[in-house]
Amino acid sequence: MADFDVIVVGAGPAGSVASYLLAKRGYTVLTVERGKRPGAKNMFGGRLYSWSLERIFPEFWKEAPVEREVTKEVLGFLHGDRGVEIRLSTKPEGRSFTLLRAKFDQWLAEKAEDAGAEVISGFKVEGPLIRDGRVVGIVAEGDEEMGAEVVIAADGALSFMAEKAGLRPKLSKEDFAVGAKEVIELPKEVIEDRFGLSKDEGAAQLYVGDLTEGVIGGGFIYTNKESVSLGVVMRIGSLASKVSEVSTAMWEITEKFKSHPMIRRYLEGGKLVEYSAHIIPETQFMRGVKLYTDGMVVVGDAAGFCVNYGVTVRGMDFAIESARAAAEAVHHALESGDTSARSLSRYQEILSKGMLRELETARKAVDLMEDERLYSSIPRIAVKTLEHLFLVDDKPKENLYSFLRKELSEEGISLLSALLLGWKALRSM
Amino acid sequence: MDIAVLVKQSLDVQELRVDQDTGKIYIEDAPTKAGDIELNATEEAVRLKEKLGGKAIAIMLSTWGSSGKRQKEAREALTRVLAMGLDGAVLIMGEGAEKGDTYVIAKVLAEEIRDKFRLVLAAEGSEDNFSGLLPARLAAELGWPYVAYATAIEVEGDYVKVTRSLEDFEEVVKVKLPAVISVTQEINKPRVPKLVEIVKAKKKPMDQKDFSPHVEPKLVIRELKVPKVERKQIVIEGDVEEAAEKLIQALKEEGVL
Repeated sequence: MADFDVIVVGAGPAGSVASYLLAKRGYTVLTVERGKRPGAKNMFGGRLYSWSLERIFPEFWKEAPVEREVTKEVLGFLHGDRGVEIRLSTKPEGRSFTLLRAKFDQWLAEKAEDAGAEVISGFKVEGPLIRDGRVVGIVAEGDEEMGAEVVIAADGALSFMAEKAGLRPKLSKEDFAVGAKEVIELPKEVIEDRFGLSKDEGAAQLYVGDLTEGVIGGGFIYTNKESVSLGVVMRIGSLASKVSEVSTAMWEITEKFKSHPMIRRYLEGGKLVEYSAHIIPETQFMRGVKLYTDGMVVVGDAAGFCVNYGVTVRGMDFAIESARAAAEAVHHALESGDTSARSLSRYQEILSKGMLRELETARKAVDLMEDERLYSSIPRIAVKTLEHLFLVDDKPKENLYSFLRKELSEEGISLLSALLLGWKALRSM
Repeated sequence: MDIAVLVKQSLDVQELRVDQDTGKIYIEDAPTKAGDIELNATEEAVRLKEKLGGKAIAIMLSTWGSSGKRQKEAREALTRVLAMGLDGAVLIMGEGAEKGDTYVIAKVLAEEIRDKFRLVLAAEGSEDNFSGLLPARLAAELGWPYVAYATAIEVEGDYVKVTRSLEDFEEVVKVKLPAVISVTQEINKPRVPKLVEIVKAKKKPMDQKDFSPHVEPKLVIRELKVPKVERKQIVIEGDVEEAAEKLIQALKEEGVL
C-alpha cells in the first residue's frame, strides 16, 4: 500500500486543481509546495482566461480573489518616444480577469484542502521515486521517500520531476523566455481614470517595439484593483543570438518601458511594491515532452502548456484544463487499479480532443511571432504611417501608398513580403 | 513530567511592508509564523520529553488578530512545531487579544498552565516585539521560579539545573520545579521535520480556546509607526580648504562638534 493515492508536486493552479478534483472524489491526496505558501514563488503576467476554471467552479470570480475583469484590450507599438495604441472595448461577460497570484493561488489551494487534500508548503521535493522503471512516489528533501499510486508533476516551468522521470529532454534556450515584472501601487480611482475603466473593470495592454532592441518580446500592463502589474518578456533564444547588439540589461529595458511617455502617464505617482523575474516556458508545445509515464503525469507549465501569441499570452487557463484532464485520467486509472503509462494515456486522449487542438493553432501563430520584423520594423512603420496620416506641416503630403512603399523599402521589406506577413498573421489568429 | 512550550505567532518581519513617507506599517498584510527561538524551545522540550517521559504541549496565544487568515497561519505555525515531536497544541485566539499586553497575556496563560504542567519553556524574546517580558511575568503569576537565557537544561529529580549565558560568564543555577525557563538560540539545533512528520502533525490534537481575560491591559499601544529618518541634504561647495571650513561650521551649528 502506498502512503497516498496521489501525490501532487506543486500547489500552483494546475497542482491545486488536480488535488481538488481528486480529493473531492475521495482519494487521499498529498500536495507538496516548495514556496512558503502557495503563490509565493511563481511569476505571472497578470491575466486568467476563465473558460477552464469555470468548468470546475462556475462563476468562480464571484468568490475567488480576482482583481478586475478585463474589458479593455490594448495592443501598442512603440517607436522612440512615440507610440500607437489600438484599443478594443468589450462588455463584461466573465471572459478574463486580472489577478495577483499570491492571493489567488492560496484560494485555490484552500479549495483543495477543504476537499480533503493535505497541502504542505515550504517543503522541497527532489524528484520522483522510481522503482523498476516506474514512478512509485516522490523523494523529498533529506532523501525521504513517500509512496503514491500516481504522482502528478505540477512543478512549473523548470520541472525537475518531468526531467528526472525522463519525460522531457534537456531543454534549450529556445524553449524559454525571461520575464521581469513589477507591481506598482496606485489608488483605485486613478487607475480607473487613467485606463478609462468602470468600477471592477480592467485593462490588458501589450506593447512591442524598439524597447526590446529587436529581440522577440515586449512589454505588458495589467490593471489590478489598486495596483498595476507591468513588465517585459523576452525570448531567451532570440536574446542570446543578439547578445552582442543588445546593450541593455533586463531591468534597464523595464525602466525604459516604464519611462516611455505613453507608458509613464499610466504610472505617475505610483509606488513600486514588488519586483520579480522568472523564466517562462515557450516550449513549442511539448516538442519532445511526454505527458505521462508509468505512475506519473505532467501538467501545466511543467508540460510546457504556455503560449504567447503576441496579443494573447496564455498559461494558467491551459494549466487548469490540463489538470482537469489529468485528474480525470488518474481517477480512471485508480478506479481500474491500473496506473501504467497505457492507462494514463487517457490524459493525452482527453487533451487531444480539445486543448491540444488549440495549441496546434497557437503553434502557427508562434511561427509568425518568430518573425523578428514584428518587433522592430512593424512598430516603426505603424508609428510613422499614422504620423503621416495625422500630422500636418508646411510640406505637401505624399500619398499613403507611395509613403508606405518608401518606408517598407527603407526597412528592407518588399511589398510582397509585407503582404505575406499580413496574410500569415491573419491565417494564424 | 508534562512540559508547556510557549510559541508566539510572530509577524514575519522580513515580509513586513512599510510606507516610508507616511510611516504606516502594513501589519495585516504581513504573514505570521512561529518565531525561530521558539523552535529552539520546542526542540528542548522534545528532547526532555524523550528522556523523561510525559507530554510536551505547545501553547499559542495569538495577538495579531483573529481573522480567518490569522487562524490558518496560527494552525500552520503550530503544525510546524507539532511536526518536531510535540504531542499537542492549545491555540488561544479571539477578539481583543490584539490589545493584550504582557500583563493580560501572562494572566491568561497562567490559567491555562497552572495545574497542568511542571515546566514551561519559552524563547528569550519573541521574534517580532522581543520585549522578553512574558516568561518573567508568567512565572510571577504562577509563583514559580524563573530562569532566563538558558543554554543548557538538565532535570534532576524535583530540581532543574540550568546553564545561563551571560555577557562575560556562564552561571549554573538550580531551581525547584515547577519552573519557567527561557532559552537562547545557542541551546540546541532544532530538528527539521520530515514530510511524514508534518502529515502526522496535522492529525495531532489542537485545542482552540477563546481569549477571555478577566483584566484590562495596563499598556495601551496608540500607534505603530516607522521611525522617520530625514536627511539635511546640505551640499557644501568650494575648494578643499573652503569646503572643510564650511563643513566644520555646519557641524558646529548642528551641535555635532
